[in-house]
Formats: sequence, structure tokens, C-alpha cells
Amino acid sequence: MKILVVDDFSTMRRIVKNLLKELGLSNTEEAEDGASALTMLKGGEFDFLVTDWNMPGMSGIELLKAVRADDSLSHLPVLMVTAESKREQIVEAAQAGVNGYVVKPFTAITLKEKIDKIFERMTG
Amino acid sequence: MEKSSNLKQKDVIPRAQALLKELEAGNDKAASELIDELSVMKERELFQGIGKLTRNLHDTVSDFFDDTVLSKFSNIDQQEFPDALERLNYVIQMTEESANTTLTVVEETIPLSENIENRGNELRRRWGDLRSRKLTLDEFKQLSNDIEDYLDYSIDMSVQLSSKLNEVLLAQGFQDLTGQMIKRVITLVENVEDSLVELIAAASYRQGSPPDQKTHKSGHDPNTKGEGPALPSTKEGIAKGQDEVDELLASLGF
Repeated sequence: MKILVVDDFSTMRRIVKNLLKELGLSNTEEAEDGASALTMLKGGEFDFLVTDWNMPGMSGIELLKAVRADDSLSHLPVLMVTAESKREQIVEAAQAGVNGYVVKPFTAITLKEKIDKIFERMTG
Repeated sequence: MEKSSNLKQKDVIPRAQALLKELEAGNDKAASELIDELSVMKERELFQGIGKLTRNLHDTVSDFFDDTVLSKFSNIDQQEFPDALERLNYVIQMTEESANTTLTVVEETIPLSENIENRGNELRRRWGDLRSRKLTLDEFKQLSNDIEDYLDYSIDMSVQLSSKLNEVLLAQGFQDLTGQMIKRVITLVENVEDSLVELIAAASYRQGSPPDQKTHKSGHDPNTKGEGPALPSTKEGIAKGQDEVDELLASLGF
């Protein structure tokens, strides 16, 4: 299971990576904005994408839409971990095909629940 | 400044001519007095200039906070000033909470690791006694029991320590959230600076020099770029916490 963690704040990337490690998911790579994330996704065999929304350059929602629009990536599960909590934004993410949405600040349990749920759906 | 210099010429020219005359006549004392007089006049002119600038600055700042001028020169929303203050206060609050969480966890963790160390040391000493055959059978039995207890205890403590370290890990999330808030305040300050530059350009135009033709920064599309964390006082259209996000997603068939 290879995971790409995208956030413009390196502290948040470290937090998410460490939490994923706790869940037994230690094969992670990092990107600091949507554009570099998209390049990495196209080049590497990633199984899961965890992304922030608010980033300079290409934002997380733009990344999500680009992923869904790309034939080779369209089925990639995407979890958004973001401080964006406007209802219209959550609706937009859902419509763009997000698989899970976690608002910051979050707990380790919340992150685990959402990831478990996504994996359940993938295998089920 | 130039205009005021012209006005003063009628005072300056006679003194300058008198100064030249006194110098040519070798009248040093009189010449020196005239030089003093001229420099006092120059200083007075400078102070008047500073006074005028101060007045202008004061008027500019007052105008700046006037709604109409603000909207004319920038795309700054009046509400952004109180918002910025609330954001900065929220940053203080979040950093304080995070620091307190971390400190509390550390305070709780130190005794745990001290206990592990103390009990380990005590067992190590008794184990040494066993190796040098100093223990009686009863003491050996007691030591075996204590070692077994300690193994369970150390597993339990490791689990507790991991969970405490995870709390510290999550508490660092404040850096991202406060960073996003501070970035928004920086953007506001930059906008204010741009607006002030435009105001100064417009003011100098009134005084005769051409305006600096600067295009306004266009506001970004808030939806795709993201807005950062919501302020605690924002209520409308904001999902309060993960539960409301889950509810909303569930209503969309998630």
C-alpha cells in the first residue's frame, strides 16, 4: 500500500505520516502542492491519496478533479484532510468524487475510521 | 516646499546681500549673526514642512479608514480588520492550547518512564544477586514473580507511552492551522500597504505630479483556493467539527 501525503505545511505531513505509520501504513511519500503531487501520482504506483485543500499553486480540490479526470488515476481513493469546513466546500468535494473528508484539527481515531471505511469499500 | 521657499525669498535675498557686504568688509561678527539668522529661517521652514507632512499623514490615515475611500482604493473588505484581529487572537489561543496539551502530556509521561526505570533498576540489582548465588529459594521465587509482573507492566507502559506520544504528535497540528491564519493576515497587511501607496500616489497627483497607474490586485476565487480554518465566531455555512461533516456527507449519500 503506497500512499501520497499532500500538504503545504511540512509539520502536517509529518503528523499524517506518523499516524499512518501507527496504522501499519509506512510506505508513504510527500508532496507540498497539487501540481507536484499530480506529477508524482502519474509517475508512481500509488494506492491512496491523502490531501489538504488550501495550498498555493494547485489546490487539493483542483488535484482531486485532475485525478478523477485522468483515466489512469480516476479510481484512486482520495481522503481530504483539511481545515476547510464550509458546507459548500464539503459538497463540492463530494461532488468531485472525494472518498473521505476529515476536518482539522482531527484525532487519530477519526483518521483511522475514515481510512478503514475507504478500504472496506475498496475490498467490499 | 518649493512654493514656501519662494515666499521666503523676500526675507532671504536682503540678508544674503547684507551677508556678502559684511564679508567683503571683513566684518566677521555681523556676518556670523546674519548666517545664524538665515539658518534659523531655514529650520523654521523645515519644521513647517514636517508639520504639513504630519497633517497630511493624519488626514490620509483618517480617510483610509473611511469606508468610501477604502473601497475606492482597494478591494479590502472593512470586515477584514476585525477578522484579522480575531485571527491573531485565535492564533494565540491555539498555540497556548497546544503548548498546554504538550506540557500536560510531558508531565504525565515523565513519572511513567521514571517508574519503568526505577523498577527495572531494582530488578536488575536482584537479578545480579541471583547470578552471584546470593538469593534464597524464597527470594528467587519472589524475584520470578516480580519479573513476570514487570514484563506485563512494561508492555502496558509502552502502550500508554505510545498513546501519550500520539497526543503530542497531534497537538503539533496547530502549526498548520495558525500558519494558514497568519498567512491571511499577511495578505491583508500587503493589501493595506498597496492601498496606502495608491493613496500617496493619488495625493501627490492632487499636488501636481501624475498618478502612479497601478492596477488593483484581483481577488482570488475563494472556493478553489480554499479559505483556511474558519474563525470560531463564524457560524453561517460552516460545519462545526467532524460530526457535522459526516452528517452532511451522509445526506449526500456517502
